[in-house]
Amino acid sequence: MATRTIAEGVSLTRRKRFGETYIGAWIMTIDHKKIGVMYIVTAFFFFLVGGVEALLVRTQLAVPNGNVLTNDQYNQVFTMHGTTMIFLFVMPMLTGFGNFVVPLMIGARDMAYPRLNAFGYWVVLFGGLFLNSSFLFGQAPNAGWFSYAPLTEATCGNGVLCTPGLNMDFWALGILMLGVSSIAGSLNFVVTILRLRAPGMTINRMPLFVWMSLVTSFLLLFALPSVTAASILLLLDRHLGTHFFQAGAGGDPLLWQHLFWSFGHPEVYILILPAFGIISEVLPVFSRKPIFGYTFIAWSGVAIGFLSFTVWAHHMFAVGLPLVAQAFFATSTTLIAIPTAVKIFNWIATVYGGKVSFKVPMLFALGFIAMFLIGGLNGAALAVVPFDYQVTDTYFVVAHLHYVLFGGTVFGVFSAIYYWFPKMTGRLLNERLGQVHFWLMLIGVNLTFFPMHILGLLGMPRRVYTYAGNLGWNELNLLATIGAFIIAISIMVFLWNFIVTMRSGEKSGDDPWNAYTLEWDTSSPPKPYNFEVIPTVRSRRPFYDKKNPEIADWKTATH
Amino acid sequence: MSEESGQRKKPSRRDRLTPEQMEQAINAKRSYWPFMLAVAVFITLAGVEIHPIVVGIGALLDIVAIIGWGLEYH
Repeated sequence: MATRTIAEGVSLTRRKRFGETYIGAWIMTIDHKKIGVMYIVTAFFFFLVGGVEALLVRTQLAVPNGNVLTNDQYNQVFTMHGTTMIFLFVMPMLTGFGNFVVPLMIGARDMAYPRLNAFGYWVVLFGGLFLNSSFLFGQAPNAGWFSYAPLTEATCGNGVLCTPGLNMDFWALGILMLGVSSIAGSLNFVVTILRLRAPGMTINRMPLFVWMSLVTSFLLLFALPSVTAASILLLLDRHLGTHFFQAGAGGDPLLWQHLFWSFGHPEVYILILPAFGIISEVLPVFSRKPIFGYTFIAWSGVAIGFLSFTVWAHHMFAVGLPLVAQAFFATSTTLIAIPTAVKIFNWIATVYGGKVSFKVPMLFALGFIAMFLIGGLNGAALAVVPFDYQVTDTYFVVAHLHYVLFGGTVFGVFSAIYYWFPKMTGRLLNERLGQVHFWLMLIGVNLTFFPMHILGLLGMPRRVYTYAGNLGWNELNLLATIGAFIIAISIMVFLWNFIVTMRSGEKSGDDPWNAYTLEWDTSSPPKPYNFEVIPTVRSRRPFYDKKNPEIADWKTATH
Repeated sequence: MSEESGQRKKPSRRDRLTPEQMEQAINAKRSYWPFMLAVAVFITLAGVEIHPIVVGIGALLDIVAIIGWGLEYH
């Protein structure tokens, strides 16, 4: 006997709409978690691209008189390595974690502007493709990630050609495009964090990752306009015959450096502050203690944000700044070490006396502190003007920035990946493979970047595509190249771990780390609406309170 | 802090989702206009490198995407 009508049969065989197909669901999604995952996957893809470029650079420099790349190819590869790692890996990766985690942490159901959020992601993807498509034309950007004018001009005056090809057009237009995404993203974060927090979550109860995301978003909003303006002026110079950066025609080459670095140095903190936030989340959970000095960590982040706008010309000591300017920027650069040190002391105090569990996220967090400390100390050395004169544009500076951005930010990123991977996928990354990944990466980073300090002190300039064999740089360069390949192996171990885990990894449950914050009070992965009931917040560790009502923080804490 | 001041009243109706609202929340999380606008911006900028006509096509697509986004029901 028939039990269904024809109409029911029709409805059962309805073709899926595009948005309901697998690909359509990703293309049309405005869910902050899916967008976060897309940011992270895209950023990791560009990390691999930038990594291959780094290996090309290191292979070229492994031995003197290397001939793996020509001088022009080398210029393109190292420029795209820097540009890719900064604009297409670190920034989207941290935005991805912010996207996934911030609304969950503050008890919101989505970002304030979900469509703008999706737009931001797609612009990053297409901006990245746009920048990298320059390789297809054989004209990738080739003047360093800071693209100093007038080298980047089409002509340098008096008919001398500088960079007449499309190379720097790709760079300037790509940076404009990525800037649109960053502005959209940071505006979204500011409004989300200020307006969509769960009831009871006061500013002083926000997780520190949320604090750092907020500060970073403000930094982006205030820092990006100067590089946007600089890029537009450069395009005008190149195509419409203006001379903003040409001294011979009444322009000023230093204008570029001022505009670029007044973005570029806040940018360094844009790249590291979210990593500070990640570490501030991971350390307490794996030390089984509340964070030590919450208020100091939060407000030192704000202090770093303000001070980061006062230090830009320490990149320009060697151009011949007036004495008073040198004194000012040396002082402000030294000052910014204070709030940074405040954080490091508080992190150490958090771990001290705790019941420490050396799981992989914790290993990366501890590795972050050690590596970032080295990067911070040699950064303070660079604030000393006479010393800076000696090592400006040498490998000492390359060592410094890589200890900060690789030893610091990348270790923070991997700490975050291992920590939040279970929340994103419902599976735990393999612990043993994770430990192999960590130790290989720690060894690789130090083997690659520590010798660069000495190379810099020995006078090896950065951005040279080869060197003579009688300068005493051979062994140190070879060591750095070996280290780079060890880092590459560690990344392959991570990729293997990812594949194994996605195929047959251990199920994590909703709260594998016995964590404290609200993102763990949802399913893994979370439902599209995040929380069936918006959670109640009474302290800085709301999920801890929920699990331990008898010793809840809000019964004793005064915040 | 006293126990009272740490307490919070029961979640209001606004803070709690019904099954229908959950379904709605899932369905609302879709729009192709952000993707379309990003493609349009990409074409516009690529046009600067390729040919002014491509810039024109990109600009037209920018306008279509912005209007489409603005008129989308949500």
